Amino acid sequence: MTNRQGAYCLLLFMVPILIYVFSSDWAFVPMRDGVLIGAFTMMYLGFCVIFILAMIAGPGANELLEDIGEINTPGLVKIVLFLLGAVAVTFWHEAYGFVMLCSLFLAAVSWFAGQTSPVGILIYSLIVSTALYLLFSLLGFDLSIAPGLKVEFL
Amino acid sequence: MINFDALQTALGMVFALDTILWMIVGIAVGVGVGAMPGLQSSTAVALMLPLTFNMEVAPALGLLIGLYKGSVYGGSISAISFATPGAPEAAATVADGYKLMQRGKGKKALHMALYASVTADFLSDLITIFLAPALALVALKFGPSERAWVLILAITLIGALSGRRLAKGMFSAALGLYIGTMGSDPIGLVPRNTFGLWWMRDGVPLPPLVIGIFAMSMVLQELMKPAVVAVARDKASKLADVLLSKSEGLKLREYLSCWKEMMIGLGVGSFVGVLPGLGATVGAFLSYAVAKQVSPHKGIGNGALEGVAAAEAGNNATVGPTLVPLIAFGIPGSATAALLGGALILQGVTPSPRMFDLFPHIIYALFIILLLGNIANLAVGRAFASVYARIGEIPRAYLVPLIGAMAVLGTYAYQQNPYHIFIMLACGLIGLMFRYLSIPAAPLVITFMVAPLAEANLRKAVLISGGDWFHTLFNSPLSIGLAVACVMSVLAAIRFKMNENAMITDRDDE
Repeated sequence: MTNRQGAYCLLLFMVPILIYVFSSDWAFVPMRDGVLIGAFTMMYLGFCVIFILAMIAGPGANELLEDIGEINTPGLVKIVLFLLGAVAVTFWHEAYGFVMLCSLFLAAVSWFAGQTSPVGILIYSLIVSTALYLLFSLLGFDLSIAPGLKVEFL
Repeated sequence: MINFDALQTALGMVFALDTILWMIVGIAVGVGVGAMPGLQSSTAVALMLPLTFNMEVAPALGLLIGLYKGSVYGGSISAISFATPGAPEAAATVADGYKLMQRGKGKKALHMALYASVTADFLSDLITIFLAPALALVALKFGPSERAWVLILAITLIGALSGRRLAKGMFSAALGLYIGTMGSDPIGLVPRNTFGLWWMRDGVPLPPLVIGIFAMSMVLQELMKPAVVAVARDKASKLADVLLSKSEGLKLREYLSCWKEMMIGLGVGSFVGVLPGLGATVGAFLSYAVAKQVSPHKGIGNGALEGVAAAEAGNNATVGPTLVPLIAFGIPGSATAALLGGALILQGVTPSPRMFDLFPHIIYALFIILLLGNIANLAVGRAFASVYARIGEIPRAYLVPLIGAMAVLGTYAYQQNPYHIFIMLACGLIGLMFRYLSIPAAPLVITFMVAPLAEANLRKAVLISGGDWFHTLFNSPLSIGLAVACVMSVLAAIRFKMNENAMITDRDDE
């Protein structure tokens, strides 16, 4: 993929944002000082589009983007699962316990990252989740080991 | 004038056990992060930022500044040892450092990197201590109009200094400005650009943004890679053997013989550090290039200690001065400075020239920590170099999940708002896109912090002048001067770009 093709991808990324802002009911409402609420937002979006166009038309447009070749379907699946896991840990750690849920998350991610030994994954995930629990609990954050199980630190 | 009461308070804050301990932890972790290829100072500071939420201000500064200093130096360890710079700012060290390593002078090169880093860092911190208050005094005389122009100048400079990636750097800056408008407008506090989500009404907080952009994007990119790449174990072991051996270390005479290169690094690095958006990488390469020009007879580029000294002094000399625009104008000089600014804001201290009046003890504490951090950096770097040499052995399969979990937990720790995870993950995806499209992330973070300030100052100035935009923008000679500087920086960037294109075309024709 070249810089130009990458810039087209960026343009695609910007389209829904442009549609959202320019079709919103707040963007064109004037404030007490006469400035539209969305004036700065729209101006900055305009800059984004101008610089994307500069990438498309610019002299380096045909240069190759080296890293983009590493994008692959299994990698994308891992990323989606990682994102879901991160949301699950954040929203459910109070209900299921931080150490329990974080251990599962760490085990899955270390497997995704190439760790294959089940014993290694188990030991690693338990040690790291416990260490994170201790560190953040000592710093005053409210976390639990398992549902209803907490260690009180002074 | 020195406020001795504030100085005394600052000394008490800095020389407390917890501050010293967190500073040492910061440096120890920072050098390790720097030595690990792929991890950068901004990633480390973003990840450790959540630890400071419940800390006092001095330990928080100790931890983050320690991390910053340590990681900028730490990059040289893997650059010299494996010809793999731990961070981009150490890339200039590879040419001479690795050749010295191959000649069996690795210990000398590593010691030179440490001493040059610490020397230039210490002297540049002194420059910061003298320069920041002077600039803050000037900044205090600014009205909203001048403040708005200074912020606009910072944004144009970020673009102008993006070099070959002008359009990409400016896109990143523009996107940062756009994200900075999310939440509510800074004057009327009317919700805008929230995508209809109630939890976006407070806007995008800095911690989820920086954790996403720097740390989460790195984790996502690592997950995309089919094979986990680690530095060969035998290479790391070989390096540890070199460091543990009784081979000759750096002599005082050799260290002193590199004074000219260290001074070049100090001058270039300090200058580059003060300019917003450049950072340590430019400092290192520019210093290395100047040293090579000034001393052609020293064989820089062919395994000379002077080359290591110039590059390492150049990158570490940016660390202190990058805080000058932050303290004097509230404009972060680099992504890491933006994170330090964010840490101060979370502590209830907004970086601005008014800090010198409102929080002099914190300013003094910051300055003392900057100086003290160098001594800790020297001690940690000297004593544990062999340990850091083995850091390359840590498999990515252990590192990636740890960083991922810390990013998730760190985001949650900020205000314990689970919805912030969505912001962090979205920023992670934007960061991943930036990595694949080779778009620099630092301009985004810097302009994200600058956006609300620029808008608020501009609109305040408009209100003061009764809605007259022309009078608002050009109401004093200083405003006009700053406006001219903005135009000049844009024109210089375009001219530079055109010259570069012409050179490329000429080369292609040949």
